[in-house]
Amino acid sequence: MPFSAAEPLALGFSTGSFCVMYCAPVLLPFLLGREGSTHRRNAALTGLFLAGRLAAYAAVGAALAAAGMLAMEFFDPVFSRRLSTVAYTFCGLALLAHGFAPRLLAKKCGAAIQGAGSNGAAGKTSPSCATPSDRILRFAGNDFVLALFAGLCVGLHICPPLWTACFRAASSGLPAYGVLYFALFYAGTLPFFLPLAGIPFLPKKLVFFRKMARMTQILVGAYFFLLAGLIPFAFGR
Amino acid sequence: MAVTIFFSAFMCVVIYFFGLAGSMNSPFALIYAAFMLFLFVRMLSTKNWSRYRSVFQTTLAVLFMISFIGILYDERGSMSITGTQFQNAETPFCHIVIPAMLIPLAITKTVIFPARMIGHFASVVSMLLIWFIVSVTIGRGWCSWVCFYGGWEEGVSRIPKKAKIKVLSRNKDLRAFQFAFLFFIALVSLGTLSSVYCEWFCPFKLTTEYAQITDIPTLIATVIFIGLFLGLVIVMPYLTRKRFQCSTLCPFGAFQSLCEKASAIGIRIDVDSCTQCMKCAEACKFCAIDIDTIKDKKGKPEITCAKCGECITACPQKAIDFAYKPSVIGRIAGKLRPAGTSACCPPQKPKTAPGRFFAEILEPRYLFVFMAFTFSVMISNKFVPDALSRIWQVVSGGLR
Amino acid sequence: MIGKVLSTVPKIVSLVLALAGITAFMMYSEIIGRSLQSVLHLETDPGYTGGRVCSVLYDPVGDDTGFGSLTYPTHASFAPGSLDIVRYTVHEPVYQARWVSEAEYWQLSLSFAAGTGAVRNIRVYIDADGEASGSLLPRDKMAEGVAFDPAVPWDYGIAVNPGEAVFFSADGTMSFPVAATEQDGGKRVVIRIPLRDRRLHSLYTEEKTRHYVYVGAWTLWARDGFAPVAKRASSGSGGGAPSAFTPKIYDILVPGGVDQTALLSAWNDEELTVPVLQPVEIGMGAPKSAFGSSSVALSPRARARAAELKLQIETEASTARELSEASYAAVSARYGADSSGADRALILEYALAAFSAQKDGEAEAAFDRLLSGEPSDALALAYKGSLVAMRGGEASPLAAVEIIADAYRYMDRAVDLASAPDQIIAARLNRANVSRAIPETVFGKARQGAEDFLAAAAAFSGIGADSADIAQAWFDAAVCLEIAGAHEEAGTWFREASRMVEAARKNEGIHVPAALELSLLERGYGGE
Repeated sequence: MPFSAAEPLALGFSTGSFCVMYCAPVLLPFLLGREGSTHRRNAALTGLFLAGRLAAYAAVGAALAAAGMLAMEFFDPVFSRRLSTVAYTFCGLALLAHGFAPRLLAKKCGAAIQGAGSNGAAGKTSPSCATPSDRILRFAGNDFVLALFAGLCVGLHICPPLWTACFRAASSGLPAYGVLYFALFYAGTLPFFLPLAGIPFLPKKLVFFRKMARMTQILVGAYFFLLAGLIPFAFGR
Repeated sequence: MAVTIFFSAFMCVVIYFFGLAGSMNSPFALIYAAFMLFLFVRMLSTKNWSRYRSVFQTTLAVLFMISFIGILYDERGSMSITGTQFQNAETPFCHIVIPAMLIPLAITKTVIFPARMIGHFASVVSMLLIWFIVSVTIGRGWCSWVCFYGGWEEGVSRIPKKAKIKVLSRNKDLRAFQFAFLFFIALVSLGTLSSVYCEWFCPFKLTTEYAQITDIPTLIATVIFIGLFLGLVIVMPYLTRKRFQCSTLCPFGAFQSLCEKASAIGIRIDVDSCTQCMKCAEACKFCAIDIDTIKDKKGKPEITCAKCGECITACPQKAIDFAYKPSVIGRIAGKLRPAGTSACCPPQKPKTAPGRFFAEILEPRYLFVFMAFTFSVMISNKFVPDALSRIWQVVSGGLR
Repeated sequence: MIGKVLSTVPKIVSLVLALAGITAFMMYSEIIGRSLQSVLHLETDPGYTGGRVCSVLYDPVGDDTGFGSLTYPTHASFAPGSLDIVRYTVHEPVYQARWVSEAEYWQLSLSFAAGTGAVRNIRVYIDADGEASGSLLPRDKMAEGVAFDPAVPWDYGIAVNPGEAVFFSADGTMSFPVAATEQDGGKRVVIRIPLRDRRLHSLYTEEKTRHYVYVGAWTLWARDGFAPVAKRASSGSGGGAPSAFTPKIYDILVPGGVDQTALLSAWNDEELTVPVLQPVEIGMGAPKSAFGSSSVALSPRARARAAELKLQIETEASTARELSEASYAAVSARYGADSSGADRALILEYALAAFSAQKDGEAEAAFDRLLSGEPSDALALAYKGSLVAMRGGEASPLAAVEIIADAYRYMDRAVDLASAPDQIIAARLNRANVSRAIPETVFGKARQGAEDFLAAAAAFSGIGADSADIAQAWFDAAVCLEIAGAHEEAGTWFREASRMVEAARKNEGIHVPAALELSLLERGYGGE
């Protein structure tokens, strides 16, 4: 193996706090706003988010490796910033859709769906709520779908340590070594996500807290979509 | 009377130290000192805290704007932030940034705002110190006694006699939104390591300084600033008679509500005297008294109370007043109380005049108002005389 | 009873806090703030202020004579020192900067001894890749009259002058404006190069780049803006140039071991060749501390020299004490004999002798006597302030604040009133020494102290004083700048003091105080 296991682990651990900083605006309001949040459900949602993030990292790493030394020439912050802009746009859209979908569905269908906690289980819905648009709304309002998609989007924010990890992974010789380097780097960032396990411990009676978190999700979604996504994308910043 | 004289004497010392020392020759400093002393004395003698507080705060907002803009022109020749100021990290630091900068500061050890750290009235360290001392003394009282932005809404909300839009039933939603906005600002500032509120959402760019409009994004930001100022600082306060921006948007206000725990004095509603007329809820500028607050006999306003005193003035039963919050020592004292006595009953009144005087000066209303007004003097002593001087220069220059 | 006491005590504490605590806190807030800052070391996110500094290069002060004898054009706008580069600061390239128009940029800054950018024609040529591609001649080949090291051709160039601020490539495929701003009254030029072009992104990963950095006099009417040079200076051209091949460059950064005058005078009129410049190497990676540390590991030779100097210091101190005691004794006798007290010169002589002999009480009494006769005596005010400040050192902390404030009232007045060179020197040095001695976290006077020491050094130069005195003033200014946190600027003056000490040592007859030499040695300057 052309590198020691400690190197990618240490690189990941040294940047883990920055990874959490990128993820916090998406993950925290989302998790805090869930109805009836249990430890299992919280862990599942977080796990899906992290899986989405890992998939995005792997895709970027694979793309760079496939491009070979052409892509390895230099660090391109403009490219990573534009990629972030795209990620913000789609992530914002997903957050907004997830935030508004249950309300729209409830208005349309008249069914009493609690907050944004629809877990996709069909439940007792009226036959009139089976149109394609209703299915889209139900899909958009699904917690697990959002967790995975948001993780994918967040994983597209490429910070310099991630570039370093990509370079090292791609130049390590065998694809298997590249994947291993990447996996160890990713593992190094995970300890910083452990505190999220404490969210279900928050008092369940805090309805105000949940309402606040859901509003925050909408605000974050709107900011990502418009101010961090569309405007920079449109005006070339 | 004796209490008024007692506290007024100390306030004279405060006004002298902060407002007059070194400026005895300035007529504007003298006018300012007389004005502040007058407000304080009237406040104590009439116990109409809110009326005189709002006169001060509205005056401060207008004069602060004049003085601050004047200082900017003196320092850099323009109201807009120049590239040099950014590069040199010389942008004046505003207290509203504080909630957004604390977590990034803890993680990255840097301040996500290009300001001087020390050596200026608007430096990071000096603002943090002021925030600290205000938080441990008057808590969210900053919003109603110190904030030089809130005075705009304070003044506009008093223009109409009646509210055209009633928001009492939506108080909870407005509070939830304010905390949601705080949470949003804190998270996104952390995620981007920049002061997102300053970049996109500050309504007070119109009254202080702004970034130069160099491209479409900055033009959009400017449109947002103007929209928020006109909408939340002028129009909505006029329609609702509430300090709308302070109650729904300001992240610093929400943050100070959380810091309120450090303050020893709050507002108490005597549920026994309360007749549930809801006049306090209608009078409250910060949407801190709901229908449920009164109906459920909670005994105190909600978390966003800024201790402005409006409810105290509005209550016809005099059931609302400043009070010490229950403290660890208070709870211990309660445990040591003789059996059979109640915690709710006021202590026996002292029999002697000195004893009564001593008991009265320890009343929380006087202590709170004194502390709050000290900060009012402290925050305004530079700007008000300076603004008066600038106005005089313009007027006398025009007359000539 | 206990309950009553327990519930009353917090109220009394609240009363005291309300009546006095807040005011007291705000009275001392500046001191508290400076103390906090000295512990926390808060700083702005580097993305706003140009990125982390990766390299600072120092250039000697006063070497703005090009090949050796070049003089400025005579036009008044060419203030002395305005073409004298003293420092070149290179930052790490920044990415994802917020709240600025360019999210990716690279910042370079040049500090000059004086003056404004209205007269400067700055060039920075950069070899970014270390390869053979690039150019060996300036943008306008015939303009400044130099060529570049054949082993280090430049890839990118930056031209900053009143007419333009532009970044260009050697192959002509890239040219765009850069943001160039003046700060510190024109003494500092900050250049921000946008890094949008993908071809420039290699700068993020390069470990080293090589820079040619120089400045000429600017004029609209000459080739590429470089004012011509001739034998005699005129309004629009520099003087002292013996040949048409004399480079039109007043100051240039040179690598260690290279002499600027030798480099720039290497033209040949017969072979028609121009001087070939050599670049300085810039490390682009992790921030380096290019500042002299307050204590460095010394070589064996330097340690031996340090030991010699320590012995010398004791001898010098002892000799100085004896001289001042003798001088005091001599003047005391005459002072005591003069009962009229009308001889101000004698009173002054006595006061200064008492001051040197550390007879503070007698000195202060004599200065008070001078001031009672002439309250605007700058010299007396300066020393009086110093003596008052010394009393602060023995007082309690709270009293000391008031005493020092009182001392500064005297010294500030002295500086305002001083007009003759000896008065300026005395006023500035007294105030500067106090500023250096008092705690920075309490009084925040170090920056003012540095300015006073530099003003005193300028006054020393004006009267042709010993270079050792000038070196001492520069050294003290550098120490004050270090205390104030301005390490880059401090580095300039440590280096200047060290150069002056070296020059003084080589010139026999000029005594350099051993304490000064030792202090510089311990910081890593000189001694080799």
